[in-house]
Amino acid sequence: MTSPAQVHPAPLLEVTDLAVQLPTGRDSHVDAVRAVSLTVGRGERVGIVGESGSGKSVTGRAIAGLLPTNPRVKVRGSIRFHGEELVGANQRAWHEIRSRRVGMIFQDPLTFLNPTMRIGRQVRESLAAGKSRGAHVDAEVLRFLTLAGLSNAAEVAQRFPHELSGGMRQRVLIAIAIAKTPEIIIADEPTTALDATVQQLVLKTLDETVADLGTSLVLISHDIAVVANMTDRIYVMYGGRIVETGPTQEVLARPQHPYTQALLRSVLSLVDEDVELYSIPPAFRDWLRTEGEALATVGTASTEHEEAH
Amino acid sequence: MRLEVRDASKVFRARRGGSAVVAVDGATLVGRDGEFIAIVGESGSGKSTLARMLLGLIPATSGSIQLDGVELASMTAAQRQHYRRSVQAVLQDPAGSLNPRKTIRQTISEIVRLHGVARGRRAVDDTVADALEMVGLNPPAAFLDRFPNELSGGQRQRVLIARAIVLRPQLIVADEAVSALDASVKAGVLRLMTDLKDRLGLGYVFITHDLPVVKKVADYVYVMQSGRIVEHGPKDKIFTAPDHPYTQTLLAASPVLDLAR
Repeated sequence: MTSPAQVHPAPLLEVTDLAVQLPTGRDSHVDAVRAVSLTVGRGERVGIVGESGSGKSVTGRAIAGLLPTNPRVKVRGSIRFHGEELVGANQRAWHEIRSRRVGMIFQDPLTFLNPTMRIGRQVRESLAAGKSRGAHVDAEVLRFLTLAGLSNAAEVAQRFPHELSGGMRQRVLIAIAIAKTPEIIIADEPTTALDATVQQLVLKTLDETVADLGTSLVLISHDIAVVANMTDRIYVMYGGRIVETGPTQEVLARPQHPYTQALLRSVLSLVDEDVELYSIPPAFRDWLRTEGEALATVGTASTEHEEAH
Repeated sequence: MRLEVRDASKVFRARRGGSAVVAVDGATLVGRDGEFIAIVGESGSGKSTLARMLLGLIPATSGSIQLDGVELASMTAAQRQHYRRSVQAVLQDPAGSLNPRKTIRQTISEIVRLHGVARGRRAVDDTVADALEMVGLNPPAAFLDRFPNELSGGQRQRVLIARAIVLRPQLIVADEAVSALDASVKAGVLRLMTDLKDRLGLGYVFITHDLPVVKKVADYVYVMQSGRIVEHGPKDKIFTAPDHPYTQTLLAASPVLDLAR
């Protein structure tokens, strides 16, 4: 399903040594992200996989500028779009990112959609500034809904979110994300809540729309099978760090980091009848937590993809 | 032990003039101790409604549900108590199934006392500790006085299994019991469940949409679509030579992880 080889010049997105601290109580906090460096080229598809608590979603939200606005949420390191630094940037710069440059798709569309607003209007609000008025607006709304795989776009536009099925709502999110014609779409577990048959259709839609529009994609998931079929490069996260990165097929076929190896073994043990059920031993996790920092990330985060093409 | 559903249906009456919903339509199946049966289907297939019927949480609209030949709907108090002990539930959301204000010790002791499995503080404590040890929460002392929020998702699911097996049931009805877990944790809980099958002779009615898991652990499979069981058979038959087009669709849609090894 991956796109044909494309030229990836200077990275569109460059994240260096990102660290995010989130408050958990009145005077406690958690280091959700400790040291994340990653790059995404124009039109490139990148996957981030990890277990719950690995920091993958927080990384996605930090890039999209969607972390809670709480002074106790601390973001360090660097997030650059076209070389422009966003960590510590003002509200206007972030507004630009959220409204035009980054589209985000979440696992649960109902928390994202406004329950009292018709779908058509929600897509319209997402249209790039300057396009949101005038007679052609309705046609634009229908175009994006159709692009997102909703063939009966005119009817869907009149509906409220609760009147749609889960798969249709997820496609509405795709329509809203692409309506702002962003340079990058961050999809965080976009199909985890869906049935397998619906998941297949939604992934196909996502695959085709980003290919048609040339949008970059960051696909975040705990489901390695989903990421394997949709991305060119992959980042494996554990404990707020990236432990391994490289071309998706290569990392999955020949994992180098002990955590990646253990993770793949457990995934494989669930689908392969010849592999005994395997869960990562707690002692190994303890060891990773204490000694893990000393282990270098396997693979290089940048420039490698340019050589690959 | 034999939990048998014969031609059972569940119809939910509609609100305000809508049409009634037939959630389960003439289902027939048998769960036995020592056997791992799976009911697979997508959302809205009626599989969770069927689970609730098996657990006696909702009555069937028509048809029959029997435990060892005794109709659920017409059990005596003693028969009902026996049924409540021998058929246990493990549900999807461990956080929602555990009282957040009770420690693990309180949660499990309560059930032990209620069913009179053990009497006296020492005996109850021992029974609880045994159950925790059996589900791999070792040493039990490290878990007894914790609250659910102090446990990981996999540990909470193990507590639920401990709470179920402490009554020495013969059948466990598990509704999406591992669906929300990460692969590694999922593998651990499944290994525990199959271990308990081998060690205690437990039987499972395992309800899920996760086909790879079914392929891995089930003995016999029922496939549900829109309230009907459209196909059933031994696991190998269902996965290698499915007859029904819906089963074929489900198998084709299941994401495949193709790793060159």
